[in-house]
Amino acid sequence: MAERTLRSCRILVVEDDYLLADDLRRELDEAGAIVLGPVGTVEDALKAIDTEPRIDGALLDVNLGGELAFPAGDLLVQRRVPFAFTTGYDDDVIPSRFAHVPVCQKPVSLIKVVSAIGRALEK
Amino acid sequence: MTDTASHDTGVMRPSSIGWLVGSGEMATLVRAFDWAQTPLGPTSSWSPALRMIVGLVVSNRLPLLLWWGPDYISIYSDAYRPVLGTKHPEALGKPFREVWPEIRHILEPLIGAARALVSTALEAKHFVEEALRWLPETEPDNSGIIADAAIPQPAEPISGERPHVLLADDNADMRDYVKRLLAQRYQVEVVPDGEAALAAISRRKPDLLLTDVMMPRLDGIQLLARLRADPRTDTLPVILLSARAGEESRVEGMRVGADDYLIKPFSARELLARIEAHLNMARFRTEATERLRASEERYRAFVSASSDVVYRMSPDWSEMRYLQGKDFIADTETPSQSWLEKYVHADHQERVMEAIRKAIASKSAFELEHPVIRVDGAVGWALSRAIPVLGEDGEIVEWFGAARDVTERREWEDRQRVLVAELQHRTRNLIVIRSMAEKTSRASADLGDFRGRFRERLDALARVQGLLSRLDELDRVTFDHLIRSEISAIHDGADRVTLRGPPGVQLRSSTVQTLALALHELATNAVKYGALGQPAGRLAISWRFEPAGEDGKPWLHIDWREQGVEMPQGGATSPGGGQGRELIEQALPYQLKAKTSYVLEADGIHCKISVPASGERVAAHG
Repeated sequence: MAERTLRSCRILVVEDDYLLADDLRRELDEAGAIVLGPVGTVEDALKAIDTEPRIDGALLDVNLGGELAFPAGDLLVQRRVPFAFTTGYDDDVIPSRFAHVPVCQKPVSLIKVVSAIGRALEK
Repeated sequence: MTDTASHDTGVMRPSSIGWLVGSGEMATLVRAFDWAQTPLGPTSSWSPALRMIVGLVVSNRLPLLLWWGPDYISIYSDAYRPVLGTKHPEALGKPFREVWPEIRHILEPLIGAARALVSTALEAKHFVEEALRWLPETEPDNSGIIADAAIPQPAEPISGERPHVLLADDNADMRDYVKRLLAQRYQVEVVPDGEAALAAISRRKPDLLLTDVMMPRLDGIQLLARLRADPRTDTLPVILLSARAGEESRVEGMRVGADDYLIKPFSARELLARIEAHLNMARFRTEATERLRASEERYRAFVSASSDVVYRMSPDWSEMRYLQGKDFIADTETPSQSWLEKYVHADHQERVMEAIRKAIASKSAFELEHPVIRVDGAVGWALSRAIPVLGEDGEIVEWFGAARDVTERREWEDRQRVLVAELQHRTRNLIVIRSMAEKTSRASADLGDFRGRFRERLDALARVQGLLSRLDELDRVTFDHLIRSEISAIHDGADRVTLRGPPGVQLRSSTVQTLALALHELATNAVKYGALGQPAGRLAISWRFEPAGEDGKPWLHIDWREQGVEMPQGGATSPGGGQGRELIEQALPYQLKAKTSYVLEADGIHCKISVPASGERVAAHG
């Protein structure tokens, strides 16, 4: 199922923790996706969203080294890129304007990621 | 000089002339006189004006002579009898020519002048009109002078009953006259002098005082001064009655606090109008004062019922007018310019003032949560909110504010923040362990191999946690502490390791764990394959602190150099070194913005790690 949904999809991973970013990268890779990044800062995320010619979906960590990732979320919305938040926090730090964005609690299960992004992709 | 008899109304009243009261000789003579034989005609035909004047004259205590009609028929008072001498009683009802033939040539020009004066005097009508009201039974007069509609209608009584007016005058006639004038509308009490007035007022405070100026014992001015000096009567409406005309006496009366000043003789209409006006004003004043008092009472009740601090500030906040601190912060009872220093610590003054300036500029509410100096001198937190009170011109007149003690809430919030951070940290550790197990299993040959490697890594993680958990909140892990703990844990041959660098370089909390894991991988590899695993091997770890690195911030530069190591052939990576190398080359730059290099030299590994450090350097912890 994962293969079918994410194969050849270009997925941007935004995650400040190297170990988690690396895990996600590997798992997405194994699922047949093309991983963009990972990047670990808001600045790098904005740059990637701005310059990548094609992004099919994104995983966005809410807290990037103490900085909140919402500007990157706004830019993704603006570019109509489907994405999901990943967070170790409670959901209520997420502003209401992102109410439609799926949230994956850490540690992130790939099945959930696939289902979250896949759902977004199907829309 | 008193003549009480003239005020006695209990005497015989011939039915033909019942309006003429008094028991004096002249009153008796006038009543008995046959007026039909004179040009004035029978008394039943007399006009109200004539009746009134005759009544006035005959009972008067002063020597008065009245001439009436074209022939100047003489009528006079008892006191005038001595002036006439032997001409009395024949002078009554006689033309003046017959009474005073010897001085007729002197009197006639004077009378002519007087007549001209009276006929042109506009005020004469008022005197007549007023005099008519003296009479107990005034009949409607065809001249229409007395028009009740012209008299101001009384206002609503203050207390549901008729207003109480006190009159002080030493002249009994005046007392009688005014009492009669006012009795229909007011409860009137009369006293003959200032002392009696004070006594009457202390018994019962009137709604208004009318007082003559010239009185025995205590005159009107002295009475007024005494009343104004007493808070119980300082607002009692007082109208001075005086025969002294002229601006000076009027000014003096006002100066001592009179509400009004009437000059005798005055018209009844004017007196009634002024009394009514002053009673109304007093009523409005009383009601307004009552409303204000009730409003202030509600305000006070509200303020004392609330546990909030309340305060008032000048429009530009330069002055605190009042603050009730409710045992949270100190009170300010009198206006103070130094409130900012008193309540706000220097570190927070600018932030507070900035919020205030914004509120003033926009004339909108000021709201800020800021530290305050509490009544016990400690620092607390206040949630302060003030609204501008605008004047009619739209400018700020005053600020009214309330502040709540939120110290406890802030403390709980701080604690909660610490707890949440701790929880997240622990959650993250689980994620790290999961990831570590994943990586270790991929690099392990079998389960036994995995068990050994995984346990070592868990131990390294546990050591870091131990270091971190022993710290107080503001403490930081120092690099020398971290490296010693790691080296001593995995290798007891301290002789082959040299450590050189300043103590007390503080690490950022977010850096400690990843850096510790990287050092652990380096040390493990050194024990297994490198400087600590071979007899000739040497390990030199040196570090230096750079207070302002290329980004202007403090950096820690670490140099890990292994020597005397027999390296594997072919320059391939050392077995098992993959994971440590990945941490150093990938994870540290990714997560810590570190700059790293990992080089396999001919005689061993040379690794350089530069990481952002914490701001301060402290003396070694030992």
